[in-house]
Amino acid sequence: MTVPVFPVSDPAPSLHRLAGVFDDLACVLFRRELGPDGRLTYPMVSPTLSRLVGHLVLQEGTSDLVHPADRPGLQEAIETSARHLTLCREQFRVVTANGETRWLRGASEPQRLPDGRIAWEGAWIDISAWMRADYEFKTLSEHPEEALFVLDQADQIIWGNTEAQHLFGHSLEGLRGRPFASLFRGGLPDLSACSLPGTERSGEGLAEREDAAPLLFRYSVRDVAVGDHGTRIVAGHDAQRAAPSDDAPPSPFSSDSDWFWETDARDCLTFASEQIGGVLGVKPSALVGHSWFEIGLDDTPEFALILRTCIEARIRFRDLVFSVGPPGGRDRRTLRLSGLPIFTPDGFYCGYRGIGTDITREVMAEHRAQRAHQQLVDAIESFTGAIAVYDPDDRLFICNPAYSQSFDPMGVFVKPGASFEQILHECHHRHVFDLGAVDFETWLADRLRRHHKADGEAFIVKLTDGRWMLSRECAMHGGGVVSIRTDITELKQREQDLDDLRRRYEVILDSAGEGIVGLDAAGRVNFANRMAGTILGRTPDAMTGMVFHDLINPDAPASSPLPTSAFGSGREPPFSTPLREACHSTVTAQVSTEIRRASDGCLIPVDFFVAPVAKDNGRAGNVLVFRDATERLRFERSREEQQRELERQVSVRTAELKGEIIVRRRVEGALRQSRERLKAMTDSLFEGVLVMDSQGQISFANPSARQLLACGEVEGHPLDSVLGIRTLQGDLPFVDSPLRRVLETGVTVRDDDAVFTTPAGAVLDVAYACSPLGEDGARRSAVLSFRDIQSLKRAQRELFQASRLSSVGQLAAGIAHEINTPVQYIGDNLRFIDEALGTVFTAIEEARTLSQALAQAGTNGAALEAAREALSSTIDRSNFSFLGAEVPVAVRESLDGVEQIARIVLSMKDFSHPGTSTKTMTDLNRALESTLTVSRNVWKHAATIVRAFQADLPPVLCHAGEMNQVFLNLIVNAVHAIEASGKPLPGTITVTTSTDGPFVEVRVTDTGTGIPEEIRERLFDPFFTTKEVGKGTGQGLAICRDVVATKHGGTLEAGGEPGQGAVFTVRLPVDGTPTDHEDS
Amino acid sequence: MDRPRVLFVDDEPHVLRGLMRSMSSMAGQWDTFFFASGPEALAWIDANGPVDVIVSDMRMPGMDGAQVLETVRRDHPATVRVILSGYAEESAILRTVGPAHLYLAKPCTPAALQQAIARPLALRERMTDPGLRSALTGLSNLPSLPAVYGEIEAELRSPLASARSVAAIIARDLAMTAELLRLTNSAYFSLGTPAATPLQALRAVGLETVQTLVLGIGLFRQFSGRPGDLPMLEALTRFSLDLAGRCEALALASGAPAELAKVAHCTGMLSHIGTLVLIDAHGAAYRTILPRVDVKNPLDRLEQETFGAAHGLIGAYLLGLWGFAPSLVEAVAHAWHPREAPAGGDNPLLGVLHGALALGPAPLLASTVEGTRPALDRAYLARVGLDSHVPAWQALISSPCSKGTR
Repeated sequence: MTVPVFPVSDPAPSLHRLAGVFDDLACVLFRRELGPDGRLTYPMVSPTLSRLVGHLVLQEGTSDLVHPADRPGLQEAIETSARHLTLCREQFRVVTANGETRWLRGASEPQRLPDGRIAWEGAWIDISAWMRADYEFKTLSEHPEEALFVLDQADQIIWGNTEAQHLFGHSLEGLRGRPFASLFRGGLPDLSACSLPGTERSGEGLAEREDAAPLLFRYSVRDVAVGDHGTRIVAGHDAQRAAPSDDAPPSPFSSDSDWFWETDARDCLTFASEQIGGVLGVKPSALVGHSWFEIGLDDTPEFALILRTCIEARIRFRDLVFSVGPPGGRDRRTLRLSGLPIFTPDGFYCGYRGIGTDITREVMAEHRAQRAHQQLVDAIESFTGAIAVYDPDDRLFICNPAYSQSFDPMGVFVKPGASFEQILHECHHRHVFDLGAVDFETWLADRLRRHHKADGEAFIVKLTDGRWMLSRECAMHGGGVVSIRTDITELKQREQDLDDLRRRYEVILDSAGEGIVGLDAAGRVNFANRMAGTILGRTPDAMTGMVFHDLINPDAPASSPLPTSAFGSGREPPFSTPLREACHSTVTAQVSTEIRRASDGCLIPVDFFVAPVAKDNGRAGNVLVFRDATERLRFERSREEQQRELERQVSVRTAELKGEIIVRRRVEGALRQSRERLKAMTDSLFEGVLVMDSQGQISFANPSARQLLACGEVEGHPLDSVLGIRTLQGDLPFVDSPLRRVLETGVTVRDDDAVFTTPAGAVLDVAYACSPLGEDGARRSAVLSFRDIQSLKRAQRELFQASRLSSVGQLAAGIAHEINTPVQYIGDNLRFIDEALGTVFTAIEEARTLSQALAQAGTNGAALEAAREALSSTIDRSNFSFLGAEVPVAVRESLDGVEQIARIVLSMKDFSHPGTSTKTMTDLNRALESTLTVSRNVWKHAATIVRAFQADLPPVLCHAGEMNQVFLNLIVNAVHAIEASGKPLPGTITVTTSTDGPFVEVRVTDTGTGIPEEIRERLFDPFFTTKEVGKGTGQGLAICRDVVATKHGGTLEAGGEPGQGAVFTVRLPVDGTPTDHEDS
Repeated sequence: MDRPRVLFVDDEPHVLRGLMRSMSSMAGQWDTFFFASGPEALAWIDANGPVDVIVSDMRMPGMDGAQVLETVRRDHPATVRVILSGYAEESAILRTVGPAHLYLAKPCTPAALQQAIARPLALRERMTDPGLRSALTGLSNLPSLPAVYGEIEAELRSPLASARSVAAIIARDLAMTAELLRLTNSAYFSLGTPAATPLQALRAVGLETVQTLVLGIGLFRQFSGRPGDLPMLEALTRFSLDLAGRCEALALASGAPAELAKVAHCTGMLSHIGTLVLIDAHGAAYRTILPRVDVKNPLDRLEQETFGAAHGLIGAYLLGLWGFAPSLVEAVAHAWHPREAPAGGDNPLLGVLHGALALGPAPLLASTVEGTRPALDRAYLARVGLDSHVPAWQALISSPCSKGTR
């Protein structure tokens, strides 16, 4: 649903033109449009709305002004209007900037635009005031038990309240528009008799209810002006019911004491109506002939004079009062007379005619009231303070001079009738009050609030003349306020003096170096100076009212206040302290104790001087003067301590010295021990240890070093005089050796396979490590530790031999297979041949028998036949064609087998090359062939061998057996590489021989997966293997390199494309290089 | 019956032709076939049906002998499988322990080869039930007692294991003893004479090899049949151990040399391998026949009727396949009816086993003695010259202290 809003989406240009006009309009002009999409817009709204709601209704401001409760109604009105194109009457509330609601009522005329939109133009007016008044009136008028009617000028009923409706039994609709008089039987007198606004008239009439029941309606009428129109309000109630309130004034109709009277020209009564008898207790006739003076008017001289004057002047008189009867007697009556002179038509005076009323009761009531008032006045007058009474309307009723003078010495404005607020204003105007910093409006509001509250609470008002007033206001029964003021200036003054004095003392006490507290009889602090606060770690104000003992010892159980009397109730405090006892004492005492400081919880020593405050022979409290005893104690202590400290320092120093001596002894001992231990350690080391300084001078050598280097005491000698390091480049002196680098760079150098030479010419196989000792370059020294690895080397060589043997052993199984296979078929073939030969020999024998039989031809035909038969059967039985074909093949294959065995055996001899410890000129091609033969069983299922041998390869001087071992290793490795590669079998192993200058190269290439770059060098590490357990020791390549490099001065290198296979290349010098190991 | 078909596989043409020539003399009895590779041979078998015996080289490119035999075992379990190899790499040989019944080493004489082929063929003829024959030929191992199996595993893993300690455990289990002794029948491990005791076998084979075989290859198998059959297996083992002891004692009592007594012990121990096979495969059925045993229905006849063969024949067939000595196999086969043995049963092992069985207690869990053991054939014993020992035997067996003799 689209909620009406007031956006000024596109203010019409006319708005600008008319702006000046609109601005001052009391109503809001607007244009509203309803689009085809059901959207409501307000293209124009005059600025009055902004003013009305207290904020600018902006163009884009779609602030939702309409009160949510009124939106549906407004929407419906607009929709209805749009549907029927009828005038749209609208009434709704808007909410203003300050939260008020305002009623707008308006009307707008719809108009269908050519484009289908509907536009309204209209105006809203603010009816808030009217609505409010209407509301208030209705609210007020719903006073219980009082029927109210509002009548128009023609006395027709406009409205009647609930009670009126109830009383007459008509609904509001039934009453509305009906002449008021029609409610009554026989009508009513004209109500317009009293026509002055504000005046009131009463009456009573017999009305008839809706249900025809009679109703005696007593009413009063008041005319009120509403705008330009007069309106009449009738209030009333059922007269037969008890009066709604006791306070209601007795109705004038109820009076029955009025009487008429007439006098004659001599001013004597000629007539008095009957009622007078009841008043005066005499028959009216008894009065005839007497003048009013005689009856008692003379007793009231001022009235008698008036009457006499009036009578003489023959003018009308009114309300003359006089009394009859003995003064103070019960029969005394007070009468009130009014009279009119009567003249004959010709102007002849013939007496007065008038009425009289017995106003005894009224007079007496008035008299009593006057007396009461007088008593009040007297009371008030006699009140020493200022007193004033304000009536319920807040007007000053009475006050005594003290009251008026307190504000208004001149008696200008404090007068009965003046309102309280007026008085205050006047006072302020004359600067009576000292408002201090408070502005008058606030002060006034507060003052009025107090006044209306009137709860008797005392408050103090300061006047500009320096006086102080204590004011107390009390509500009176039945409304009104009694205001009592007492001038407390002196009191205030004294208080201030006292305050000044106290402050002066405070300043004095605060400046005191001691803490001073005053305690009351219960031990509560009623005063504490600043120092007390400082010492106790509290603010003095916070201490006031606290039990002092609790303050100084907050950890103690909450103590009850001290007994008020020193002689006590027998109720002992929970614990007793010297301070507490001193407080109970009636003599001054000094106590030193520790208290707990509140601020940091520290216990501090305090000296207390406790003095009792005596009062009426008793103890009214104590004054405690105390000071922080820390300083005193410290001072006292410091003197003792200085002495003690001196003694202590001396003893400590002595002890320290003793300790130092002991420590030094111990350190020296430890040093000695450590040195001895070190010496023992180095002495017992198998390794040689040398320490040298930066210049290469030996500063220490252990026995092992001396023994290994075969030298004596070398300390102080240069290193070169003891050892040199042999490398391929020759023997290096210290200056060129890696040891010097250690001294220069501080980096440890180690070599697990080095050679030391001694000046005596000895050669040592060593592993050494050289580490820097000491920190900075110039003074750095180095430790060289080395061990003889000759035996290790020997073991390595033995290992090589062992591995050679083991590989031969491993080969043996393969070789056995290689030999077993030919043996198998040779045996098979030989047995076959054997059998075949047997058959052949049988056949030959039979043939010979046949031949012999033929030779003896004719002799024995049967024998011949038998021989022929035998041969024929042998030939039939024996598949000679098969034998003829198979036997030669069997023989040939057997011979092949024998050859193969012979070759294998020869290769074995070649391979192991037994019996040579020196290098021999070796045909490497043949060596390789032998190796391939003996290892055939290793490779035959894994690889095809391609031999690329250089035919004219020169013989090489080498250890043939060891080189064969190297080749075998390379071939076995190649086989393993191919088997492990996962490539289809068989792979290819290419063995190449070639010459390269003075070198012969043997290359073994496989088709495995090659060697990753990163492990290429580690391959030759003695303890590196890529082989799984059971595939050899993995020592192979290390040994091979040792053989090739060390024994033959050649090289063994690994290469090849990773993934494509490995290439191992052996380079040997053709002429063989003699090495140092030749002899070993 | 068709002539037996024997198939040879060897990648070395010379060897193959040599075999062909050496087997040509057997051409009258067997049909022989020769192939240069495993796949060729298997293809031929697939096309022409199973052969009775296959003899294969071990080391061949592509498919080696173990693979060929394993394939044949799987597809044609009834085929007797023999390895003939000159190659001696241990790991390769160990792989054949399962699939091959026999391992022959090159060079091998035609006579030895022919015998190795002829012997199982002869057993075949007695083992007429093809199903049973197939099952037995296809067996790769026998079930061991779980407790002993656990012990042997633990012992073999123990760093303190020794040949003696391992052998002591193996000797307590029927299957393990048989498997271990079988190894020594192979040319590779053989010291010339087959081992008669587990300890001898262990020393021949080597502890490490046994460790590899048991822990790595799974030479032994734990009994995993129904728990209800386990007590029967345990009783059988006790009985076999007891029988082995009796056999040895009887052999010694008959004046046999210690070596022969050891073999007699071994014979007694292995004599009920057939029962082990039956319990393993048909434990429930075997239990049902035990109560039916009586004089008129002796155990071996009931076994024969129920399973197609008695335990003696089954055991003998298996032992024959595994290359055990013919005398031992014969003793096992004919222990109940020694006079039916070929050559009149002139075999001291047979006599001793027969005596030990006939004079000893009932086997297994049978409550009755009658029918669960053969009747003593005095006539047979008299013929083979053992009759005179019978009183001594009886005395020995009734004496309680003989029980534990080994």
